[in-house]
Amino acid sequence: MKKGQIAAFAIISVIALIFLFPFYVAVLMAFKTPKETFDSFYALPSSISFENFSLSWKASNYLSAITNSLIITAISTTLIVFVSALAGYSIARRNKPFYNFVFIVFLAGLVVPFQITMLPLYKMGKELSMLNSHWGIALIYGGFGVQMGVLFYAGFIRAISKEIEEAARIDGCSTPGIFIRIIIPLLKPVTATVIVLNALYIWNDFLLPLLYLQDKFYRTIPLQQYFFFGQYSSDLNLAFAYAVMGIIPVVGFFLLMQKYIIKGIAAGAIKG
Amino acid sequence: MKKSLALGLCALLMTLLLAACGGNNNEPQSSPASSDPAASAPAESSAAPTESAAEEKPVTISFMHFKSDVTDGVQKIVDQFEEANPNITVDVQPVKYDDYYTLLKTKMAGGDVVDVFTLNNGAQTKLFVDGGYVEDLTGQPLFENFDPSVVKAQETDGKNYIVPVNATPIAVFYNKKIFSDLGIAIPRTYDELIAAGKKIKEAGKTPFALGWKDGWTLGMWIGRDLPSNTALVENQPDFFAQLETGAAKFADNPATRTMIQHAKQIFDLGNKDQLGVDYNGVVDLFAKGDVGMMYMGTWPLADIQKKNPELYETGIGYFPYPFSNDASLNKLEFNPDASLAVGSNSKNKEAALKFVAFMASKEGGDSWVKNINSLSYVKGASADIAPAVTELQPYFDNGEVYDSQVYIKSTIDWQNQFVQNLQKLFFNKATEDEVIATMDDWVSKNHK
Amino acid sequence: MGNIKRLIRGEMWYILFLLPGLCLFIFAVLVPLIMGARYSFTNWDGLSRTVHYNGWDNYVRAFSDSDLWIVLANTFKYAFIVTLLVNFIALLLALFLDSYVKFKNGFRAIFFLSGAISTVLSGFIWKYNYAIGFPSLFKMFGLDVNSPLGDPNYALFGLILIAVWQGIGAPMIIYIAGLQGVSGELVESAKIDGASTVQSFFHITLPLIAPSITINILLVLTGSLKVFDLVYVTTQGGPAFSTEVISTFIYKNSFANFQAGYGTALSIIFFLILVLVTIVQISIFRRREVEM
Repeated sequence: MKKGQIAAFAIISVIALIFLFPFYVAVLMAFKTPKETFDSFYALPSSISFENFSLSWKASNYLSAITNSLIITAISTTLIVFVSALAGYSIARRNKPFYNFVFIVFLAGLVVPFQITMLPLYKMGKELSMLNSHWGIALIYGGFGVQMGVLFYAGFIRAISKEIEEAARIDGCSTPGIFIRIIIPLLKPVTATVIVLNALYIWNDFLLPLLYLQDKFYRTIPLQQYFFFGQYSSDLNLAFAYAVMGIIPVVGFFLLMQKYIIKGIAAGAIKG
Repeated sequence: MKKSLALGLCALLMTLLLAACGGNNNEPQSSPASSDPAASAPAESSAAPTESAAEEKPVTISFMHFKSDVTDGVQKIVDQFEEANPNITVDVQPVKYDDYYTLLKTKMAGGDVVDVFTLNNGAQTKLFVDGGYVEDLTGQPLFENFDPSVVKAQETDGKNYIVPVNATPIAVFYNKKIFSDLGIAIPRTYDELIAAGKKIKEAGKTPFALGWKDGWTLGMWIGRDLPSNTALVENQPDFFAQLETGAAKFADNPATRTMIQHAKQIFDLGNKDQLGVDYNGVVDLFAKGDVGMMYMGTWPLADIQKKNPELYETGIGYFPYPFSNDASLNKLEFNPDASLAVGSNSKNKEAALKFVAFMASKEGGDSWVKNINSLSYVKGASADIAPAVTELQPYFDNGEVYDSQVYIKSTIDWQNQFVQNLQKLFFNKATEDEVIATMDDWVSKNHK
Repeated sequence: MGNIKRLIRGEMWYILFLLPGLCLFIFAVLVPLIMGARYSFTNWDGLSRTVHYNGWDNYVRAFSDSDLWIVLANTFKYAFIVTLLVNFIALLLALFLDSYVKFKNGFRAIFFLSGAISTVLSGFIWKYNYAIGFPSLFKMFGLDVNSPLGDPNYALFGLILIAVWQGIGAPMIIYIAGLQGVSGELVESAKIDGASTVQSFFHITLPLIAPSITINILLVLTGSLKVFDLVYVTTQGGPAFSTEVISTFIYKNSFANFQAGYGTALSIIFFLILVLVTIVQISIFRRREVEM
């Protein structure tokens, strides 16, 4: 057994190193000067200097981008959780053709390629002045996210026994009452799943912000990254410093929430 | 208790419903700081009279440009303008060239307003003019600052929609040391160019730095070798106009074959990993001094100066790209780079025009030269941008310059398609004939 | 009478619960889908203000467009290999992590992290590593390597590698969760009965984690068929069309070639293909799960 453990540890460490290598290069680049990179690619920087970071911080509106990303992600995921839980409950508890039909429509929506809806969405956004606003894009994300959300919530609620609800109903509890008092407290694990999956997707999404948030004051992190890389394409060290700055919040979020994220994904996968 | 709870939830649901289905009426307006004119001024009728009356009122104009490799330089020019016009704020949006036209098109098609934007003379300009998105500037006084022939060359359908700002020779940088060590004279014909390349390769160095990982580098070369050979060697100046209407085919044009053969030869003499290294990568290679030649505009000079000042000062020369074997035809390619256009739906046309006029003035022209190391079309603007470029002075003095882009007036984007098909050829995934057939097939599907 | 009233009242809440989600969905997906489908019957160039209906022309053209078949072949090749590799490696890592490795949490974090950063970022990092990082690394060992993204024979595999690097995290965690549901006693008792590790894996563990496999394959396959960002930020479909996938092909037709009408027709076809793939997948997995 000992031998097997060591072998497993060795294999997994090698894979982990391969996985980390691109990050290592990014960090290395972020600390070097163009001259140092030009002279030798793998040599360590001659001194630890945060100049690239401060320069790219100044040049990039980083703070505004991260605020936008936070606001949009927060509004959208809240919206998604709220609407999907309600709709998921209805679908799970009403096993009637109409509800099943709605459920299937939601599922079919999941495979709609973004390319069909891209131009119409842009036109709608334009006409309803939803462009360059946090709410506008959040509503669209709400509509995207509700499909997967309903899938998860309906699956999860179906697995909850109806007995308590029926007892509560006999005691005179109404549907909303049941939902709030009995169902909501049980939904924590699946809610974690829905939040994590949607938050990651929305935080990293690129194409919808590219269309909806063209005003530079509304740019999210990936969009800002994209434009920054384009503008500083010849100044790679600055670009990599910016890249590292983009990784840090994600790493922080992950390390802080690791327990919930993993539980959430696992719970969603099994129950959904 | 239960009732009030139900009521509360009901109210909550209703608000949500309103928010979700009915209502964008309570959408927050976009922030005043950003002042996107598109978001706040929907009706044309209301905007026009107020604008003319309020000369002194602070206005913001948007300026979208594709010179994103020199963002800081452009910003400095804009700063200079804002200083002189304190009531005008310019919201600059630099966009990477590869995405620029897609983004501009989406915006325009969606009804967005961009007050001032850059366009390339030729196909792209024609497209936006045809769509009715560009203000006609014919007869504006600012054109007096240019040579009449320049103004004429930038016409679209006989009218002036765009104002040329900066210009660049597109020619071949060479490493003087490598050339003198190997006893290579500056090539004046295409065969001499290839012979020089082979000599460099035999000496164990890289003949050409290509950077063909980026689509535009190869596209730029195709878009010059082909029209030059078509119009000047094969005498078919109307070829591209006819291509658009279906009256001509690539197969009928011998220059197509010439270009494909050239491409293959240059590819074979290119840097290692020709399609894997991008523009920045080859500028690095060239700056290191291991590469003989690089076909490029003046853009990389600033970068080379930063990375290898010594090479920049004395080590680089610059010669016209010899597209043919007739030395008398091989003049210096000198192209407008970015030209400026004013959006036809701009609400701040006066301010936009002022901005364009500044760019076309002597002051603006000098500023372009100084800040982004490119030449200016403005009469009398300085031309001192880099040691290497002075080597081209005789061509300018003798008028031995030309612009191959005037031959391309078609709106279909065959260059990118050609890039991909040539890449097939490079890796022996298609023959010369197949490439030409595929291209003609593609054109027939895509012309209007 | 009272009964009916009660029924309506009872049903009303469920309908009300359903409505906000349904409205959002109609607003963000259904309406744009219908609007988009309409464009597919026009010759709209995406820019001009006039639109002409041209019936089924775009669809007829699509089926005779040889590029479409190449692009579809690329897409499916990419999606199948990514799905296989991601699931295989994720399961392998999950098995290691589930059984006997120290620093479990640390490793889990490492494998998950690469998927948590944006595609723009990973595309940028990898593009650079491919072009300069790896060649200079291998040069130290005397090996001469080129960027796979620069060679039409390998470019798609270059992308697949990035996709695997990015996509391993979530499936791995789902597998770990699945494995935790497998009782150790069952495996132990099989071993006592003389089954080898491999045998017990195939006969006991694998069938028990079938639901995880189903959901992972479903998610990864659908996701990779729709890949766009990765291609867009690294190769833009090149070199020599070798990484042109359906999403970028549609995007190029709609925007670069000014054929918005044709582009939407292509995306409707793509939509139908996705529906088909999903139905096939679900029915295969349903049958298999019933058999078990």
